[in-house]
Amino acid sequence: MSQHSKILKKIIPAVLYTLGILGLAFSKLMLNNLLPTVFTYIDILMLFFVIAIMRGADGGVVWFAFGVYLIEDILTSQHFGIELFAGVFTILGIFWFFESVFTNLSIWIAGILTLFGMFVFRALYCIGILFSGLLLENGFIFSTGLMKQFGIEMLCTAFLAIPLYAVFIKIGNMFTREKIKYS
Amino acid sequence: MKRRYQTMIGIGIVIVLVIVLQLVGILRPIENMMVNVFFNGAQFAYQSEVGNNGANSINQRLNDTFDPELIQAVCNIETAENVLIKEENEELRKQLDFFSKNDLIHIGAEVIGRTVDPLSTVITINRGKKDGVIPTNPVIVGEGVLVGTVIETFDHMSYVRLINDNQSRVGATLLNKDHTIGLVEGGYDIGVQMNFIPQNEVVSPGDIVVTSGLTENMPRGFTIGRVEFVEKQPLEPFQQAILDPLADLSYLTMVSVVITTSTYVTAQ
Repeated sequence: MSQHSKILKKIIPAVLYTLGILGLAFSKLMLNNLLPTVFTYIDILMLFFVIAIMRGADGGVVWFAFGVYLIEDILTSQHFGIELFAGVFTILGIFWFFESVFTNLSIWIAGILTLFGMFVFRALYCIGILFSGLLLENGFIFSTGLMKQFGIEMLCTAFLAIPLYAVFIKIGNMFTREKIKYS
Repeated sequence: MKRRYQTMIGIGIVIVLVIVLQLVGILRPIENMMVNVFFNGAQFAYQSEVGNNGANSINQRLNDTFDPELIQAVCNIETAENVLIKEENEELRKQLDFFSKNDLIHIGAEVIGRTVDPLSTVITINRGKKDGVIPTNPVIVGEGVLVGTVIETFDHMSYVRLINDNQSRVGATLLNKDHTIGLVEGGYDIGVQMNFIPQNEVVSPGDIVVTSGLTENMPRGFTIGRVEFVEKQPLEPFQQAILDPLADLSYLTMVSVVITTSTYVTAQ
């Protein structure tokens, strides 16, 4: 293998990785600005990571999540680090949870895993806010309205994960190596 | 298990390192670039959504009020897009009138998007540090109607926390007989609420709420909203007033940032 192709083999995945991170972060911002309020409760990042983990992504997905949540953190008004901390540890948790507890690939697992992910994400987010409130002033109100919003967000995202994962399985099966080879 | 702890600690150290770099300011150029690129890229998405809200609001008003002026405008100029432009012009004229009557230094800004957190109501405007905007600057529309406060500035953009956001707090006064003072807070189910009103004060639906001037960098007299109803519990030391904000916070396109407020004379 020539020196050039060796370099290209390293550069191309890195470029694709970076474009993927930027594209995913931009999609979240676009949807948040484009869709009416109720649809903004759907966390497309969580959906993406749950489906990626269930479709066999390796540990690199956690570093991918690191890149995406780093940009997300810049695009939110909360103190820097809250979203990053909550997002990365949630994806790490989902990854381990899927490896050791839910090892099958049923569509219901997609829903449960998303629900678990959203719960952990918001729990860590609240911890981050409480911690930042101790160091810096933030005046965040944990009202019943906010808890309701958390609930809506969890349910909307988890319910969407089930059909979305089913569609991904269907598409994945349509383009398996064998099917393409013998078509 | 030991390996997992090591992974967690490793990731934790990287996150802490990034937070420290951000606090020191090393990440600032990257933040400026990201905010510029991302919000400029997503601007059309926000404008299209707000455009829909605007068109819906016009339809609603046509249905509700049979406003002859508005119907005439719709008949004359035919397209909803033109109605929106007309509304934008009216909005700018109101802002200009207000500033010509009051000695305030201000800068006009266009709303270009919302931040990504669905739990907060924070918008992005196309003016920043290099335009003289600083955190705590009030942001208004129309004839001195407060919509929010600048919370973070970048070179050419700023984040504005709207008054109905979970973390918004503004000192306010009721324009009633007693000139009752309280705190207008967002984040409740119903939107905006005025808290810490003493029980013995008389508050009635329809009373106008204005800024009290007791919040840092916030002059007295910007209109916030109108009292919709009052919640009063006999054993509580304070009563609460639920407010109807005078500005439509879901339909903001042009705003003004008040830069220096020391010589403000209230319009009231």
